Amino acid sequence: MPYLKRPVTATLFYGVASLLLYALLFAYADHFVAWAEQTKENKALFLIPVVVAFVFSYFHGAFTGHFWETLGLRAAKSSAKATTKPGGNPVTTSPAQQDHPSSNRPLAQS
Amino acid sequence: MESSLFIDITLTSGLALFVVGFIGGMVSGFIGSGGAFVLTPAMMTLGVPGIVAVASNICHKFPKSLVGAMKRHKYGQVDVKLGLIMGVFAEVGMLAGKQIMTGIKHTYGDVGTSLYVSVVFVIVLAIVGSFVLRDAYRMFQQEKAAGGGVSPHQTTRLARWVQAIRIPGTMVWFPSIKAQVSLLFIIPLGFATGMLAATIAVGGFIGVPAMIYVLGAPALMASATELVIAFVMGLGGTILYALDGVVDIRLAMIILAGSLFGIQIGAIGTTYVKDSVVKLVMGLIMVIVLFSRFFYVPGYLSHLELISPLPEATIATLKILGDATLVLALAVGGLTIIVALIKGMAAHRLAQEV
Repeated sequence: MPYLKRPVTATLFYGVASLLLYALLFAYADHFVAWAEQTKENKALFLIPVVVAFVFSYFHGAFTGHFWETLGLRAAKSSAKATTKPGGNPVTTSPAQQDHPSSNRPLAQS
Repeated sequence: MESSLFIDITLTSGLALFVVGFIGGMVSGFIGSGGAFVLTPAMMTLGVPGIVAVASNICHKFPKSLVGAMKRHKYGQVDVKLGLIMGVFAEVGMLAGKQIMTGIKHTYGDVGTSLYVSVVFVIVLAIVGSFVLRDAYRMFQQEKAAGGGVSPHQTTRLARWVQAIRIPGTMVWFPSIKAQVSLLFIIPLGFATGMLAATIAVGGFIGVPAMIYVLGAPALMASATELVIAFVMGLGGTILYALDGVVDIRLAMIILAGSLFGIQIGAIGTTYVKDSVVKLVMGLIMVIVLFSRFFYVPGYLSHLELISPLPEATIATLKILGDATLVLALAVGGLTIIVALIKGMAAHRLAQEV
């Protein structure tokens, strides 16, 4: 989705997605509570909070990242750090790489 | 009818958890952990049963740490290998810590476990916190003497010794340390991190200083790697509590909503500061949290009849003061991060204009 590389569009997309997820969570809050209470009888239900947490972290994590970026809060360009393997060449995260549009992709994919 | 473990969430309680989550997230993004020590008591104050508060806190911790670790990985600060190895052994340590807590609870009751937690708080935070703060002060002095330059990362004598020990079949290369270290040193450090996490909810108070002073990792990388450890521990902890059906996903996701806003700021902040600032924030929080215990301990001693009984009103007042000190620790940490971020951004902009 190339249009999501633009910070404002990405912020709006992930913001709406995140808002929808929270709306669904609270619209069906009684169900989530009931599933938690039934976990002792049906152990497979333990997966629900785990999956919910992963899904929310993907969409809300991407939203909050783009949100601050849209407001101008970005990492310092000189934050590149080198890591070296024995006998290998230094691997560096260059400022150019950090500013590359692909760095706008959702955090859960980075 | 069996009463439900899950409370009704009001707008006020939801907003309060969102704000605490936000500041806690900011601190976590910056020093790798923190915030958890305020969230559990905050939820319990709202009427959430202790076990649900702990479980929901852990359930917000692992997705938060995942997002923070990925963000800081983009900045080249995370040692994934070290984080995963320490995380696995921290998981074992957490289980052991939970067993110890359960044993103490069976023998001495809730007050016994609270006193045990306080003793661990005081010993660990007094020793490690004052050491970290002293090291931050030393680095600031060196930076001042060098005219504001960055004080180079200095490997401690202990870390040099650890790196020099060669035990065949156990040596692993870690990028953050830029050396091979025996797994036999990593295992107890991971275990201790998990034990502390199970006891005072913040394993990073051991994990981060251990990576810096025992293994020789720079503070920025140690605090970023701690997020991987927190993710592994948090995921394992969530599964355990979810199997008991005590995770309140509504509470966890409200805290997560705030903490993911905060963790982004904390992570971005690390790209503008020196190692010494990370140590300063961590040391400050640890020492202020340590003082909170002085308000709780008289109440526990009174309940265990180890001192003359105190009036309930006095115990309640002391508890409020203790909770307020915890909030103060978080607020001081959050404020220090914001000030460091603003100063760092201004200096960075100035340097780019020249």
